[in-house]
Amino acid sequence: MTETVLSVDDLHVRDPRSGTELVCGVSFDLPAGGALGIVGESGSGKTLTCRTALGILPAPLEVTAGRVTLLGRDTAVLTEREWRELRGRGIGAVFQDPGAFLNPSLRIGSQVAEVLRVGKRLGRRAARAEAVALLDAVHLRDPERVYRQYPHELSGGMLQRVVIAAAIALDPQILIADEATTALDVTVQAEILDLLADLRERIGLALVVVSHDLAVVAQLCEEVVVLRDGEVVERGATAAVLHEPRHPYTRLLVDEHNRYGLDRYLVPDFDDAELEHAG
Amino acid sequence: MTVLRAVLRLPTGRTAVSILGGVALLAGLGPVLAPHDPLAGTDAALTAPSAAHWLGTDYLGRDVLSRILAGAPASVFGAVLVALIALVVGAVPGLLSVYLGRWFEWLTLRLVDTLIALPFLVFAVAVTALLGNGIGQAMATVGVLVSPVFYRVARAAALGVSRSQYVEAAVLAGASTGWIVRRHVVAQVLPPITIALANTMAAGFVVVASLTFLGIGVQQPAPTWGGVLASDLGYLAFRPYAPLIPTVLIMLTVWAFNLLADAVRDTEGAAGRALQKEVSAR
Repeated sequence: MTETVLSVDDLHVRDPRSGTELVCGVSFDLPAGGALGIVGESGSGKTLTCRTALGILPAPLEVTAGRVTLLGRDTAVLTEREWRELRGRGIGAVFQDPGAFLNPSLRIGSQVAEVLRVGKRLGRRAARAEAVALLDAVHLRDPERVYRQYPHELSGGMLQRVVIAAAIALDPQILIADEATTALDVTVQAEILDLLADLRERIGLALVVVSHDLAVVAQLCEEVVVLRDGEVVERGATAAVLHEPRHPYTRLLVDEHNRYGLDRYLVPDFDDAELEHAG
Repeated sequence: MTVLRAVLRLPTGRTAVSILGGVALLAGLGPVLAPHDPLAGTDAALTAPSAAHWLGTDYLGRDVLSRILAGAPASVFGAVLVALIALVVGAVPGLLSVYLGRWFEWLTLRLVDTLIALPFLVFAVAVTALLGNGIGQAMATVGVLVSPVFYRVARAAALGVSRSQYVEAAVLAGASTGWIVRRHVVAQVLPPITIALANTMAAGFVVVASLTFLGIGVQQPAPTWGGVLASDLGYLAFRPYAPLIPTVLIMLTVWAFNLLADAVRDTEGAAGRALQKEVSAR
């Protein structure tokens, strides 16, 4: 029995201005080293759920019911200081637009090193060495060079690697990847997903992968939660949910994938046909 | 330092810096350079410029050149003092208003609104009447009254950065508010503050000249540029050109401060960098 690192139990989030419930009764458990996918369209409450787990719910929104247990601690009673201790060390996050998460006027290296200096209280030199090692760990070619570059000099995929490097700098047990590959083109997206899978295997990082794209979740996660309008409509093992969707909404998502995906345009047995032709 | 180098690359920046350098020199060395005692009257009142008195003498027979040179420190340092007081009184609460919570934010915003509503020349007259006539009281009053500029500039810049996603990323990495302010916010706040500082010095210079013209802050017979201007006005029939000298000095200095503010602004931001490129390509 592995321990549960993040547990969300019947979470309700409300917008007091309009009185609408934005998240109504979301529950899931993330075991240590596990990977959980959250799928749903825009506005389905995926991001709000994650933000609650990170303690950065945008201002007027409030948690009205339910509890989030992060590494065995009830987040509702955490003080600002305790949150600071948990963030970075316990839980990290990467989001859709990596460029926006880096200060454009500071070098890449100093921003990754900054996390180490704040979180591990390392000196300048030690932080530098470890930052370069981290950039290497996220498979950036020539980390020394990247260390000296500014955010505008890197591509989207490289920036996302940098942001991931910063997010895992303090060895958190959980990483939330909220639409982390959405803004990237498909090949780069695959590389980032490989990187996440690799990190999971190497350092036992538990992943929460949030996406509107079933393919992304299918590639990384063994368990998936499907959200719609703030409610869980389906949950279960990824393979089961994708192959035999029970809820009509999940079926719609899967169908759309089948209908608009590339598979439809690939001629089956292309190789055989060509071989025959050649022969 | 890089800002100074960038400013010097612009023609406007060079003009501003050289004029202000001259003014600073006057302020530093003026009293030493004065050829006559600025306070000693002679029998030769209201004379035209001559070899002995390059700019003539005023109604008490005092050497005008000496009075202008000796009056430089009070006029220039007065303006600098106003700007620095305004900077400290304005920018610090402006930054804090973003971080210290709603109560502090509300209080400082209302205070600043109130300050803006006060006409500062009139208010400075009232305060010096209350606290006694002195350069310190006058400059502190004006400084506090101009501080809303710094409060608003600092607050706007800090608000902008604190909502940026890289600050959120720092929060998620476990950074404290103090660290975020030092690391991310100050860098964003400094450029607009520098521009506001140069502008405020220009405004402060006019205010100091106006106050000394009225005899507030520095009392006659102590020399100031505003005071020289005031003493000349009653005798226009004898020396009609006399007000020109302090006026042109005041105008030049204020213009140079404004020019400097423009130059600093032109070196900042994307538009500034583009302009720099264009200038260096010429």
